[in-house]
Amino acid sequence: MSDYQYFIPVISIAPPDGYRLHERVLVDAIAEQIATPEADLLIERRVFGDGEELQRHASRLQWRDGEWAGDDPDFDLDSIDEGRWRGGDSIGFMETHVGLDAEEGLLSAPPASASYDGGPTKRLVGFAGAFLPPSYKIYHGEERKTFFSDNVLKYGNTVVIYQIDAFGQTPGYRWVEGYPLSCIDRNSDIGESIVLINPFMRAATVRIEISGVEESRKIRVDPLHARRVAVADLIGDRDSWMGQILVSGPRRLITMFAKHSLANPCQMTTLEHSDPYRGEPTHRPVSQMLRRKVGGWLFGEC
Amino acid sequence: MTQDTDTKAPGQLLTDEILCPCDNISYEAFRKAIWARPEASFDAVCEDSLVGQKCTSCLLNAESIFSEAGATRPDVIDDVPRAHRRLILSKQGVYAVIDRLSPKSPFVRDSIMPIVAGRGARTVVTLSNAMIEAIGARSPDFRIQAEMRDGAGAVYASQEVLVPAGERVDLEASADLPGADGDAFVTGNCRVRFEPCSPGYFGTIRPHFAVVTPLAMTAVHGQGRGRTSSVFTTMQGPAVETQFVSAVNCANAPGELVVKRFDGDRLVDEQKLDLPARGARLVPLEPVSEEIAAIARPLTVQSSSDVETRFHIMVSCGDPPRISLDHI
Repeated sequence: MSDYQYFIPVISIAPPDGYRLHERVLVDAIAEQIATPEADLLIERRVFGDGEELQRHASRLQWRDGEWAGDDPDFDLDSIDEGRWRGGDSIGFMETHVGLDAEEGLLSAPPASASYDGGPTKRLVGFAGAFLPPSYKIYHGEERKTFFSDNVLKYGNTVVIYQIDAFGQTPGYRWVEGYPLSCIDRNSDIGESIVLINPFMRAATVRIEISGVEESRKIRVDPLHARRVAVADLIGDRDSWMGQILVSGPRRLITMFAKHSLANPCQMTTLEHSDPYRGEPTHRPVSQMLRRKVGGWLFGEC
Repeated sequence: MTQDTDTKAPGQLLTDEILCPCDNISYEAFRKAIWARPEASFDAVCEDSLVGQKCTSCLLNAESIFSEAGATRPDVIDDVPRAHRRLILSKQGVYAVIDRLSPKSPFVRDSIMPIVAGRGARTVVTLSNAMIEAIGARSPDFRIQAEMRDGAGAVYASQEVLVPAGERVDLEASADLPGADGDAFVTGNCRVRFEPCSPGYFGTIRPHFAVVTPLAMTAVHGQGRGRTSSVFTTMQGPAVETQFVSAVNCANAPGELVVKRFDGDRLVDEQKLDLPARGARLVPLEPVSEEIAAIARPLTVQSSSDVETRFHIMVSCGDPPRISLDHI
């Protein structure tokens, strides 16, 4: 089955001051998911800030005779920063869309009933999966520590889906994710920020809870905005703190955790995706486990 | 997804299953909304029906339903029983019934993490069993077994602890690692086994590890099974930065680790090392040339092993270092 016309869009932060972002879309891995002998691929990068689209870049590639032709699938984004990251109120973000280039007649394939080289009959409409092959965004700069960020899905995060399946009917339920190992140390210049990205068209307000800190904080993020919230501003006058941060709200935002110099937040250490509160049950039916084991023995995945 | 939870009766799987739990909208209601307005766009149907307007997690499923429903609009929209009967006989329906009747067993998980120390760095392993008002106390107590091994695969520490709901445990995983106080990086690994003491949900218990230096802290989640190869792209950083491939052997047998770097299709560097059983290695990726650094070309790094291995990329910058680790 090849049901997907495009992959779920992925979100990245715009590079902080002094950094450049390099993104590589793994087109060879994508080729393995194309069911047709020919396909046209469109990679679009849209950069947003202050509630509007600031830049848009398109790369078009053609899959012909087992090889890619056309534009370079790699992309470099220079900093749009101008104090955005340091200020925190509108840091900018990028959405990457990868899909079949429908406007230009992407399929020159036989009808859906056809088969190739004696192989199985396929529905000749797109990709085998909805998730982009995983690859890191690389943030680099001459006087900056290199850091990586993996693909953060705009929607369709299966762990969030499990959470809502498990708890969605609980009275007072809100979407919850966070990070268990966050740290501030004012004496060692260790800083951290919560990055909240709203790539959607409705404003969202989230509540931030910090372990050991009684008061929670509410933060609003407008549509097509992204904010950096300094954790040091949320822990009172403590010199140091290490613990769990939880972000919750009636509407989901893309949440990341940036670890950086406290004095200069543009001197980054790392950027991590958050961890949704997990709704997977701790106990499984024995029948399901047996089924998986038998499947593993039969197909070599035990 | 529905087979893994026990909140639905098998019959509900078929017509009443919820697509958008935020607003309690079923698959069937969404289908009917699509059929009622065949000319409407996906966004318009979502907005009218309120599907996907809050947490957005159901948008992918909604889109799939939108594609299907457009092609399957029945002459009589309320003719659901036929689809119902067909689904009842499906394989998943049968499995759902069997799973519902089956006894339940705790799902014990393993997580493997590298340990890094030296040059002022130390590694902390954390298990946070947090509670949040929005969900309530839904995770059970967890029984934890942690075993720390050095680079050669020898056990140097182990601990068993209980993490009650609402509490956390931070383990100083590198405290007894040989060479941890030295001027060079040393590595090892920590395997955490976590077992739920009663039925509930996993919540936030997933193990994470942090590498803390006098200037910075990085934190990453642990992972389950390893693999035998990894490919990633990187850039050569500034002169004060060194990148490493971290490899943890998850197997009880020794292996060989091969790390290659490519500039385009051209092989520019290759290193082969022994990987002790249950041991770990840090492989420095020395600058391959000044030219590559100057023009900031991406380099492809291929790591492979003949045993199950957990790979990370570690970046160390400056002295004292800022360190980050990312699984690859």
